[in-house]
Amino acid sequence: MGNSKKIPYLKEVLIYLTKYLIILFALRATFSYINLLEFMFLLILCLFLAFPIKIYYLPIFIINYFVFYYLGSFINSDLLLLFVYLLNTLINTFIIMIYIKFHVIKKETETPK
Amino acid sequence: MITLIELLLFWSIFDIPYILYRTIFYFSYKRKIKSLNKPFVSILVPAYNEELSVETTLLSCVNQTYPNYEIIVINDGSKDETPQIVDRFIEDYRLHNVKLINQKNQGKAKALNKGLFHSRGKFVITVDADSKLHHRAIELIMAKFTNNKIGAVAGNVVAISHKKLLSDIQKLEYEISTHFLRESQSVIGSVTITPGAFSAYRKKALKKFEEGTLTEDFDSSLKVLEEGSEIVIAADALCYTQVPLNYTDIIKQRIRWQQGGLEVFSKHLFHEKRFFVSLEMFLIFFFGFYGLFPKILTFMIIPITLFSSDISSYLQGFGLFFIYFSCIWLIKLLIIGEKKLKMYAIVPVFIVYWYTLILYSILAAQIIVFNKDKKWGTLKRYRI
Repeated sequence: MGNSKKIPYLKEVLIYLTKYLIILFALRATFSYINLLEFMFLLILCLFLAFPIKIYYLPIFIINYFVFYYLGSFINSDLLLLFVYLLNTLINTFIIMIYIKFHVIKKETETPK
Repeated sequence: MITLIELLLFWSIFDIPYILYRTIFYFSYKRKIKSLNKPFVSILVPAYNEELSVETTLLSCVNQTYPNYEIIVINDGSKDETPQIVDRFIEDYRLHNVKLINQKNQGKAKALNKGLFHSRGKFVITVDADSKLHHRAIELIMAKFTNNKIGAVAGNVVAISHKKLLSDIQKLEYEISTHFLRESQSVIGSVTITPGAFSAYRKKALKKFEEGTLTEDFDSSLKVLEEGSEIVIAADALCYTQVPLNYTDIIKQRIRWQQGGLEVFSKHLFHEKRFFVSLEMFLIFFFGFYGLFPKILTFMIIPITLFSSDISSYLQGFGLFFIYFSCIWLIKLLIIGEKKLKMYAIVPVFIVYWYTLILYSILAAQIIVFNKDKKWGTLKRYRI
């Protein structure tokens, strides 16, 4: 019984949160220094950058941030901006799904049992 | 600065068309069965450490109104008394149509494939060893194979009530996903998930159970749909299943579902499908529990932004969120014609449970994306 009372995956969750916050503070300082800060896009970006994925995938998320940053700068309506945030999240999700398809599932099916 | 009205509008733009779409199809679902086919079927019962419930499961399988079947129990390297209990059950009841196959622990999908290999029927039915069937379940599920296009039929999985709030909450979830979601998908032959606890497959359409993902039922049903077959639901074919009764188990279960769901979505991303199958996949990704990342925006980012202005904006935003989603779930219950008042009463508690679970799943996202453990989930079992 004692074992089943533990919160599962707590260590992983704390590691992820720590990584998220470190990346958030670092990028916030960097992007505000170069005048390219949009806080909502940054919050979304950090969620994906905090994943332990192969390093060459990270620039894709960052490029995505800049593309949406410029796109967002042309939009005046907050409601429309919500849709742009959603689109940004969906595209980042799509990248993660491609990553899983080609690096996680494929690797597992190739591994001899 | 985003206002609460804009937030409300943003959510409604997605939810209103979605609810309308589902409602139209939901009311087109026909429960009536025209003909009752009774071909020979093989019932596969994969089991891993199910000593507390396997006997009840088997009893419910042998006490069916359906006459033409065999039962294959696949013991996937259980460390408890499961194989002995099954052996004793076969001996005690002198059953010739029940057999036990033992294999070393390889996971549920492999166990099902082993059972499939040994099966004689042109149709197979999967039943989890922690579930029990209604005495007419097999008859009603098989009657849904009304034409050759139908490759699989999903059963109606009902959570066993333990008179605990957590089991009632899950009962509510199961009711909505069976009736509101699957019955409407059934009208277009595109039920995207055939529950592993109770589903029937035409062997020719299934070929084999998909391996390599944690949700082999979701994975296999998408493959059946991609092959061009249709999947419908038999809403009257009831199967009662155990649900986790503590938060530790429920978090573990949901994280496994999220992980498996994301793997299956990724695996089938570029595969060719019928228009309605693609549409349903998109909708369950976006609105279902599997739609982890789109929810990040609704559940985390927007509340954080509201919080960054001042605490009262955040509380107002959260209050609006709570009322809005409670209304959405109440509407869903009204549409499916839920008669028990208790179900309506627990909706506000359900929203808190749902929000907490999703938030935690998001934070555990790296496990969801990268966990390699493809073995059985070990949840605390109860007698059924």
